[in-house]
Amino acid sequence: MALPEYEMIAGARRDPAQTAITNIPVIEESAATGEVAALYDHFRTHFGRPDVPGILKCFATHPPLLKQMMDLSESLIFAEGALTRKHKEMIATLISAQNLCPYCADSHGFFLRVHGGTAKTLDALQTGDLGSSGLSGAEQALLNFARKVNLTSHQIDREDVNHLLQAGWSEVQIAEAIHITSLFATFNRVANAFGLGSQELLALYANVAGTHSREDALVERNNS
Amino acid sequence: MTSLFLADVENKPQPGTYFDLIAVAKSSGADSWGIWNLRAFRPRIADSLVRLSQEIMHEPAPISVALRELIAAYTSSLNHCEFCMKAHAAVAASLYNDEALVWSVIRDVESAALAEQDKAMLRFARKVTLQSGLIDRAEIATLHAAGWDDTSIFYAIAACALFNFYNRFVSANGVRPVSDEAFRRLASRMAEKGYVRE
Repeated sequence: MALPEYEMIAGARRDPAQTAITNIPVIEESAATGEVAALYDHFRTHFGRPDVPGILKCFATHPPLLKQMMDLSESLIFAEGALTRKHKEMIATLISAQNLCPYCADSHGFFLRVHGGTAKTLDALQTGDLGSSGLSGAEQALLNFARKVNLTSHQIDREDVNHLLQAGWSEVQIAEAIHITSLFATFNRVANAFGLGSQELLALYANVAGTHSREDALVERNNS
Repeated sequence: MTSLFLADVENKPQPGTYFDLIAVAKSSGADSWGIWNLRAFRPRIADSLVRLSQEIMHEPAPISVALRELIAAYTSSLNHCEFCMKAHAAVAASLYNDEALVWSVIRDVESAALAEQDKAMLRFARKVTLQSGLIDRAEIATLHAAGWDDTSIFYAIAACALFNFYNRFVSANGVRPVSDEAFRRLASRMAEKGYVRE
């Protein structure tokens, strides 16, 4: 199941990712052997992305973790669920920006754009401007909730949940939003502790998808 | 009756290990753990998480299981997650055989009667939890100077990051602490066997 975002990366024919300088060594693709090499190969062929993302290279230092992380991401994030990919990526982008994680904020911002998020929506999430007209009322409610789960989860109460139900979200969607927000609290910290930098996928998007930007402008003009 | 915030999560357990645990607790009147309902709601994802937790927290590594559990309890205290803090303080207390030590660390790492090397790791866990965006090579160099290798640092990052997941997952769903006695029973099982339940 090649993902559209990874097809775009493959199509851009970027130079293979340079060996990144991290706080702690990761397993580069050229250095992978045995189980890790097999899992990297599975990733490249299964998802259709030519290079293995840095976050997986962190976990590859301990191969059993790599497999679990790949399973978890595949079933919860890189698939439609109760929430659409677009809404999942909105949450991922917001939380990663809040947690000052350049690696995740860039990659999930990119995924959001590929899955239909406009430039205006991305900007709202990057700057934390959740009152932005780039977000619907229901989206604003969902993202405000995700922000609270990220920053002060111990203060979440039934009222927060009721507010989301009133905004039209189902219980299963709320449960998924909690799950994804919480997972990014983890991914952001792993990426930051390892010192992963941005992969500059948003810059790649801007180069490759100039036509998308023009479509955005039309959509936004029609909506306003 | 655990009273989670989401009725669907509480009342629609899917078949599996946690479905069975919930059923047994219900019929015997024993403590019911809200976290079982969270796991029974999405069993496939729960299975990945439990196995991930087992690898990070309980498999042999150069950093002890006791210190990894202490990192879990300390991280949970920083995130104000009472359930995880009490659960993993109990597991750490069982492994250190010293409950007072564990709670003194949670209150104040600096004044606790803990080896300087271990304190360095807990200070790092605090930074990973509260300010991960500011971590740079100087932090890692401090840990190397304290005698930690990269593998130990990796496990500490993973343990701390994992509990940053659990704390939010548990708190935002309304999981409440169980009785101290139930936490102690959990602790003696987890100290020995870890996270996977057969």
